[in-house]
Amino acid sequence: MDLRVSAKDLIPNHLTMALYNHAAVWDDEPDLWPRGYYTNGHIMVDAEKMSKSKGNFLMMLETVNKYSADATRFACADAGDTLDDANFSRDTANAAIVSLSNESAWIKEILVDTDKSTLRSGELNFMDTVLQNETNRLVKATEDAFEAMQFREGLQKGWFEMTIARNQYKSYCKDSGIAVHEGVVRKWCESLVVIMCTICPHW
Amino acid sequence: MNRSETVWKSLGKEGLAIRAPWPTVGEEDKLLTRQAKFLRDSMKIFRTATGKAKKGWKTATILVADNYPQWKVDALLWMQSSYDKSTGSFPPTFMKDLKDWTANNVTDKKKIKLTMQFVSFMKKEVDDVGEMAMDTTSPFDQLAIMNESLAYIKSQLNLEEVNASRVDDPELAVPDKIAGNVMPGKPVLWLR
Repeated sequence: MDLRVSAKDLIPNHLTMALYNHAAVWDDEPDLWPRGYYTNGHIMVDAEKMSKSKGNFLMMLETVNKYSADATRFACADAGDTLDDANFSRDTANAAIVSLSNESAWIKEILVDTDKSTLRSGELNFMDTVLQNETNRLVKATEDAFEAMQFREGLQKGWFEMTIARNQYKSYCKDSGIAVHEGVVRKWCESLVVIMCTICPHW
Repeated sequence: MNRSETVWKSLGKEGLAIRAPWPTVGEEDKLLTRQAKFLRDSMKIFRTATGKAKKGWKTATILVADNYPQWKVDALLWMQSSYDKSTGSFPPTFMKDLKDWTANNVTDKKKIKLTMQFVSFMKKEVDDVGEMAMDTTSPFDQLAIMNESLAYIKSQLNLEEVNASRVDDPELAVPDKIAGNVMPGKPVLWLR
């Protein structure tokens, strides 16, 4: 077994016992023992513990029906990476529905619907190189985070910081009275789509 | 069909986005990352300046400096000598060494505290961006970035007109009080 994903309250009982069991049954075959455990904290909803008395339970199906599978996954990824309690924020899920849809609309608008001849190409100006460099930096940072199962960190880099970089680029171009650079924007868009397919595969 | 797949196809891509390999990208250029941060930080400084400015000013000039004053240059050179290039780090005794060094080399008592503050700030910068943070002059052309970005700066700050200049430009005759605040990486928006 490569990885067992569980919750932190099981560390002192079940997860430890499972290690003992493996060690007892396969005492001279350590390669059959679990290779990795990953645990997370309890899941809160809007920073409150889910409880019967408060009635603030979120059921999986209900949540998916309400926010869509992707926005639910987005809010789960954003909920937290550590052993601290993870926080599922309804606002984050709601905002994700809108921002995911806005991004795909923007990509389509700028690279499909816009007349290509109105976009810039060729030599890069200062801000073009900045967006290109941010794309390089953030794709790598997201990859590193995902490989370490740090999904909140990955979302921070691969979505939030990516869109911040693009927003600055957009207003820089607008304020300078120039069109965006097709090649640089295309690389940013293609990278964003692939990055986000990991967390929002139905986006 | 999913929106991401529709977008993927309309970008002229083959196959499915969810099956696409992770994007291949070039190495990050850390100096360029610093230049981008320089512009972002500068915008923050300028916003504060326009917010605080007394009414009635007529001319806005961005002042940049390529060099530090001598006491900061001394501190940076000392940091460089203490930095271990092979491990990319400072020795564990760094803060103690700093105390000894300032005690022996900074004659003005008032400057000791400032030097310690400056060095610990620059140490964080080194942790962030590497040894180039200890350069004693700006490692990139600040004025060129400002000049290329004037239209952006003007529009973001709602200024009617703005220009950029080196702080030691003799034609400007910047008062010492203003000039003293201009550092490499820390421009000043001079409103007058």
